[in-house]
Amino acid sequence: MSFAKYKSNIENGDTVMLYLGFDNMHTLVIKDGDTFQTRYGALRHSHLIGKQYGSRVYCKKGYLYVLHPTPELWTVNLPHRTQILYSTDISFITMQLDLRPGSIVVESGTGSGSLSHSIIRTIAPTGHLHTFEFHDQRAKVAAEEFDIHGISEYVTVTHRDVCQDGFQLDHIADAVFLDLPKPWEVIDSAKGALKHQGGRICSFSPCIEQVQRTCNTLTSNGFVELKTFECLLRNHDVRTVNLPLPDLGPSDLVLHDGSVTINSSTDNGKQNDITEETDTGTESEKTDKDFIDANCLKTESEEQIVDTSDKSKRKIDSNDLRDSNSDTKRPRFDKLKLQNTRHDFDLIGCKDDKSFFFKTSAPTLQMPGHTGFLTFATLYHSN
Amino acid sequence: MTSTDNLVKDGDRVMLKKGDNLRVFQVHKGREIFLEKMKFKLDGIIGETYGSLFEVKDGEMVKIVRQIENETSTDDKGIDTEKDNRHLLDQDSNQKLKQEEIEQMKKDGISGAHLIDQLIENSATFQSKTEFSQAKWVKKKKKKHLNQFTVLRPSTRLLCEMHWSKGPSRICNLRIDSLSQMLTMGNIRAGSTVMVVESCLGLVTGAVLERLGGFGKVISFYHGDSPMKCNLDNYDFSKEIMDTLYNYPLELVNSLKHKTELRVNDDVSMETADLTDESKCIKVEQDKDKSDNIVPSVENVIKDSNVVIDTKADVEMESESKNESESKTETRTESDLAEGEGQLKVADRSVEKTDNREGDCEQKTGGKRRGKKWNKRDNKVKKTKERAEAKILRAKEIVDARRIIQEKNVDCLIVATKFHPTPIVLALVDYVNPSRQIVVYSQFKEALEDCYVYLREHKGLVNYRLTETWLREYQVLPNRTHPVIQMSGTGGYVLTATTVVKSPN
Repeated sequence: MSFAKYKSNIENGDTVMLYLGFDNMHTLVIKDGDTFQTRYGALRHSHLIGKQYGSRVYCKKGYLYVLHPTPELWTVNLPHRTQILYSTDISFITMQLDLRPGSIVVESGTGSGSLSHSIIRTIAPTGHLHTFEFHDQRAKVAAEEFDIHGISEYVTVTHRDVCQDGFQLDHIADAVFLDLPKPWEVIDSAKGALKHQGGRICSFSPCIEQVQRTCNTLTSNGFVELKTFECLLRNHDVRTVNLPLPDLGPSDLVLHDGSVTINSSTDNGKQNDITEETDTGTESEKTDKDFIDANCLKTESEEQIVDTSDKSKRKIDSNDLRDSNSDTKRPRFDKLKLQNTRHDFDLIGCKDDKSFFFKTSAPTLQMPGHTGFLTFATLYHSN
Repeated sequence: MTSTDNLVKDGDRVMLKKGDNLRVFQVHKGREIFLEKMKFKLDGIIGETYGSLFEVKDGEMVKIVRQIENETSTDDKGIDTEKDNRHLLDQDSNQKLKQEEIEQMKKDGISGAHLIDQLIENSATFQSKTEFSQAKWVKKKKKKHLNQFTVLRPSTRLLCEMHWSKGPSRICNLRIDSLSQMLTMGNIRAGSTVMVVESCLGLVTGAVLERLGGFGKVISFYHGDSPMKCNLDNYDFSKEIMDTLYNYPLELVNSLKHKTELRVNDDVSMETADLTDESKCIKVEQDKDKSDNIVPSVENVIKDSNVVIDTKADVEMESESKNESESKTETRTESDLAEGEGQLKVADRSVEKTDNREGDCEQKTGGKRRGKKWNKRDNKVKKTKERAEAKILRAKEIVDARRIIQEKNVDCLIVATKFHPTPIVLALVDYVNPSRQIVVYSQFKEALEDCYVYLREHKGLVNYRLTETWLREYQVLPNRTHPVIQMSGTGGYVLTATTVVKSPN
């Protein structure tokens, strides 16, 4: 029942999310008497009933958090029956289709229900989703899930091959979403499903050839303002990096005759490793080092706060200058600029004699480079 | 939805779309608007359906029928052509029509389509171009000479596109895909209570209001004198939706931790016409002693802002100090903070002033209208009375908002400001329920890194993510499909996290 709206305490039958750490989550339906095995030991369902969502729950070997379900958490934890759409594409689709409470939406196919959960969240309590799936069992499982999640009143699941039999909806929808191998086959039917006043359509296809053909069909069916996008997510890991400083040798090594002696007693090699401390993770992984680190940063950013107020002062000054004589502007501005250059701290980190430490957030080395092309179009009312 | 709901009415805010160019105007019978170097009236669109296409003719909007482009018929022709550009010379004489002649034709009221035909006829090079090249040429000329506008109802999507193309810096470079991420990752939905701190011209607040659809509550924090309501005017929200919005000043955020309840002063009756500046709209419930110790953060901020603000001058907050020694230490830190805020605010005000100067034409027209209305009411007593009423309303709103926040039953916190987000997030995160989302946007990654580090130390949150979305548009045309030449380098960064019950250890 927990998907329909927020509630504060866990009840029997709720779908909950267990958060064990970064990228380590599970979903389960609370069933009094059952036990769930986690990496930290067994977890009795009865132990969770009555607990507030967001509570820390202790197992034998550690603790985890029990979270309220959201469509986004569901998307990363749901049982895959098909390839699914992820939150990045979903959010862009939701925005581009102008979805809001009250929207009537048509979706095909239902697949694993990842997008469906998100659409229902946005269009409830006054909207409705008509979702079509040509795979009988998938349609049934999706309908069961919607029921368990307490959102079945906002959705109608139909088992049908829309490419052959169409949507059979008569001008009721504000938006249509297509995730089909041959979307061009249903565009005519989608047009019939959209309201007389018009609406938006989106087609998701992994291959450009599909996009090409879909766009042709959309145009010939009177859809306008076609836009095709790719939207990708870049995750950034916040971490402290320690870059070793190279040993460039002493500056007085050049001998009188011009030859150079190399001092072999330098102890580099050990220090010359880049070390990184990833800052992502649960509190349980937090070390003392992290804590010191954070404190270190605190002083830095306090300085930053002072700095911003300086800047705002300066801004007023320069505004004043703009109004006054332009001749006096340049020299005074340069003076201000000089004041701006600070030498008492490194701008983005700190250096000691061995290395340069800084906080950064680097993109992950590997990331999904393509999910699919999203094609959007508008149908205006026919007159 | 009845059929009349989809018709343009006098007084509606409409968006005029020509290609990727979007502008908001309020429809007013008889009033001329200025767009694309043309002056014209919007009278012609009243009573027509949203989504209709209009052409400007003799200063009026005339409805025209949308043509289906049959671009698809050129499937394989273009690519197999023998033509190329080896003999094309780039010279002005290619077009035989002189600029003056074109202008004269326009003055004579030639339709855009006919003008383009003329241009083709008089082009020396058009026939020797490839089919694709011809199509591109016609498209370019259409963009220049066709004055056709689609009339649309404002929406978050269109307003974001409009601001993004007009001046992204005014919405903190918040690109539409980042805004979509924020709304989705914040789990914004009907029935939620959402706190929004933004300086993106009301775009984020409007987007949240749209997603709540009149169900739930939005507390929008404003900086400076008064909420930027005129920005939300563009959305043309219904009263049901606007009723879910509560404005609350950022200056009273630090004071939220004091449990004292603000109360609208009932002594100020609606009839009192001569409401002086000293009169207090808000009083504090004083339970025990009547010591007039004023919470320093509030007082200082008010003192610092030397511009007289209607409500602010009236909103005075008093509170009893719990403990002499305790309050002393608190006083010092808070007044320091308040000073910093005050300085920031002065800078901000100057920014806003310049912003207003280069205000958009639609805002100007809106302002003019309000001005006119205002002048009509020359009854001064009525004016002051209305002002007093507005003051009391504003004060009531603040009291209500404060109560909602202090209930600590908020479902989401969204921050997207020009300010450093860390102090804002730290001050407000504890009012959010456990197992809810917080979303912080910044155009600078470093600000979010700082915010992340502080939140880690603050505890009570898990599942942090610092993300950035990448958006690439494609031109899809038969045999001419490729990524669009220009692309946006950044649309900002988003930090999200989930609140949890704070454990003592």
